Amino acid sequence: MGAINSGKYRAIVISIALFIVFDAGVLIMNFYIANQFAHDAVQVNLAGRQRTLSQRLLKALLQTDNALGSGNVIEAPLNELKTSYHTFDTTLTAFNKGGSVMGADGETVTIPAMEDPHGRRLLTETFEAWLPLKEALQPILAFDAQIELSAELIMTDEGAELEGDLFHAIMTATKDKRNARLLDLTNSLTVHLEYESSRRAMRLRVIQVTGICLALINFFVILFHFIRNLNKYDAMVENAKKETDDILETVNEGLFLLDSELRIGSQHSAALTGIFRRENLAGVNLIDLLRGIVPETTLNVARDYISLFFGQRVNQNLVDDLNPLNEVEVHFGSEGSQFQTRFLGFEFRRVLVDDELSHLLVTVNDITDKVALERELQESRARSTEQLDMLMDILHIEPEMLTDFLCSSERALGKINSILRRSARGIEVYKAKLDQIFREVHTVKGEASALGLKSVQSYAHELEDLIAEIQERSSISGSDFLPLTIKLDELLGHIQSVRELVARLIDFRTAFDRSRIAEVADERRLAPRTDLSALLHNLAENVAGEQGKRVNLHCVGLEGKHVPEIYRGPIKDMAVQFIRNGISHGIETADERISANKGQVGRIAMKFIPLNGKGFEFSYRDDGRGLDMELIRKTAVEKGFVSADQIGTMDERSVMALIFHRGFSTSSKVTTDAGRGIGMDVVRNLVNELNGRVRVSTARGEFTQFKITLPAVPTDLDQAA
Amino acid sequence: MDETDLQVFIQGATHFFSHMGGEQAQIGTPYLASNCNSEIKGFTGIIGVTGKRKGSVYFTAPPVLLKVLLMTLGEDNTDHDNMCDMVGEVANVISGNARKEFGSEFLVSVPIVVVGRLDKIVVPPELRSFVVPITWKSYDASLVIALE
Repeated sequence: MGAINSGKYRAIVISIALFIVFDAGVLIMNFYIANQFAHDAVQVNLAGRQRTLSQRLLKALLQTDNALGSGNVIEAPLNELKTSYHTFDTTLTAFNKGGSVMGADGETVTIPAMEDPHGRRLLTETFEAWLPLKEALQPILAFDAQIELSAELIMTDEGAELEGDLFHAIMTATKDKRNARLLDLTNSLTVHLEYESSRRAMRLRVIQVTGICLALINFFVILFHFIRNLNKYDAMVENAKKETDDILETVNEGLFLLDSELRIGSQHSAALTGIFRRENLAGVNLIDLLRGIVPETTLNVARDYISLFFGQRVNQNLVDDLNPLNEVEVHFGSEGSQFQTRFLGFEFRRVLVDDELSHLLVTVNDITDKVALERELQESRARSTEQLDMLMDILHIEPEMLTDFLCSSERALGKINSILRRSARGIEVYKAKLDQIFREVHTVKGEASALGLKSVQSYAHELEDLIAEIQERSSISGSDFLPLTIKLDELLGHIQSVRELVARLIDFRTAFDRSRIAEVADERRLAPRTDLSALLHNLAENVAGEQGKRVNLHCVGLEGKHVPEIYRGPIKDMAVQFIRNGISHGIETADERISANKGQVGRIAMKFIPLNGKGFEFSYRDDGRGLDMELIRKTAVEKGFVSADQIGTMDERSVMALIFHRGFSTSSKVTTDAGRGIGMDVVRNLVNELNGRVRVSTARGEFTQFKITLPAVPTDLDQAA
Repeated sequence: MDETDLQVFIQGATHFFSHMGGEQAQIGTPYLASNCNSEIKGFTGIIGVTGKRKGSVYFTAPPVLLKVLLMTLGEDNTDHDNMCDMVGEVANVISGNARKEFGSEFLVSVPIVVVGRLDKIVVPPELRSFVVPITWKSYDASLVIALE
């Protein structure tokens, strides 16, 4: 910075130095010549005095002679003569060799010897004229003037001698007009000295004018240089400002400087107002700016983080890595009460001046699109992983069968939502709602289990747990149903995901099996047609596998086309419940069966037979251990369905009917397949809804059989269905 | 959706009725709705929510409930403007309670009031909302919570 300045200002410094030198030069010359003037004035005065003295000398000479001749006192004229002589001679000597002399004011002045040739010549001539006179005056000057009366003096020899000397001196002074010549020479000397003085004055004027002219020129040079440089620097500054302005106007990022008080500097990029949706940001505190658009926690984090920069020595890279503001979620309130969410990325750079932190340069970017993309990618990855898991879950299931299941589950869940929606009050009504919901969930679970769709089965099981838990409460309110509704939402969401995946799978398969395109399209148009026996085989295998049993299922008349459309759903639901119940309670383990002299593999037979136009019979039969009448009696009493007294009076048929009670189960623990006492309740409700009848027969250790008769379906209704 | 989060909004509404309405409101069984507009009952106070979860919470009530509520609070003037103010006030209490309970995790907006269908309000179409029926003095209102 110092180097740049000295370069920038060097010319001006030199110019000013020259200006001072010129001025000082003129001043010194002025001083010197003024001094010279004083000397010159003294010399001119002295030369003028010489001129007067030359005449006074002659006058004093004549007066002395006259006084002597007329007998007067000669002391005064003689003294005058002596004084004039002495002054003239010493002054002339001083002019010639330099020296001190009495000035006009009586003070001693020292003058230098005259150097210039013309002056010397005049002096020489003056000496030539003076010396004879000087010599002639010597006897007169030596005369003692203590004689008062001239009359007496003239009578004396000294007087006569003096008169002779006077006469000789007068003659010498007047001979060859010596006196006039002395006057002339001293006059010339005066004129010469005056001329020299005026020459010096002229020289001084020239020097002064030259110096002032140079100073003026210098001044104008400085002025010109200065103005030109100022203009140049102004233009540069203007240009630099314009460039900065252009950058700040154009740049997409929000750029600004932040001081230690966390205030935004006076200049910032135009984009900043767009990013923060606020004008006049200069001087605004950044924390105040963020308040209201970010949660309080983020605000505290921001404050702490930024203050790190203004602390002691901070490692920039380390602080960069820590930056908690590189992705900040901000929420702008809009006209509606909806918030508009954006993501902003902040970057901080230290601005150092002389190794001291002066500001932070802050860059803000609206990174909403980037974040959205990243999240979409993440979600897509998560979805892919989830779908892969789901794929493993559903890959073994026929897509048509799965679609059928999804339709019926959505129907069931829709029904549950309708049950929830019905307004109700009072514990009994709430309990009834729970019962109805339970049956629907149980059906979904059963079917999911039949398909081996473990994820749905597990959701349904959790729902059942929730319902069971609510049912056990002594008081139930509407808000107790909230977790149930939440779980229902989750299950619906899950089923939706499965449906999306199935749709993709079908598309995928269609793409590879063009010959079946038309067929698939037909299948989609029509209601899903499923071979129920395949589903049931699957279920039997799954349930038996889970319980370590072996079972052989034999189905008659359960292929899709034999069962009227209207009965397909209920028959499937009942068949599912029979198989799960049968395998859980009826079919024995292989070891038990061997001990009972049965084959290792349990047998289940299910039939759906038309009854000569009088409806249909749907039957289930297994060769398991049969119903344990004693256990049923005991359980019914224990669970409070009947009293101990009542049970004693009940016939076998009535006892067997107890298994259709909701919540009746002889199982001691709850599994996904049995134990809640719902399965037979579902069957009974379906039979009732269809106006059918159910009969149970059993033989201990031999078999259990359910026969359900269903009324005939009017042709038009079936077709409509 | 977190049960605790939903309960905060429900409690906000029940607090309002037990403190201001003089009688406790009964909560019905919550259910799901795929279309918010089908649940709208005339006057609706809407709160925008963002932060941990995003979306809107609506308190919607029929004019009759608002009129009775106004009269219970000693306000005889039950005109349109006052009913708007009333529904806005309930939404305000719900939003205040949410702010208090959620702290810094959520940003809860100042409520706005809409009469009739929610034309201006954009509810993500794929979002199922939770509808909590609220019965006060035999009048039905609903709290609709549509959060991601």
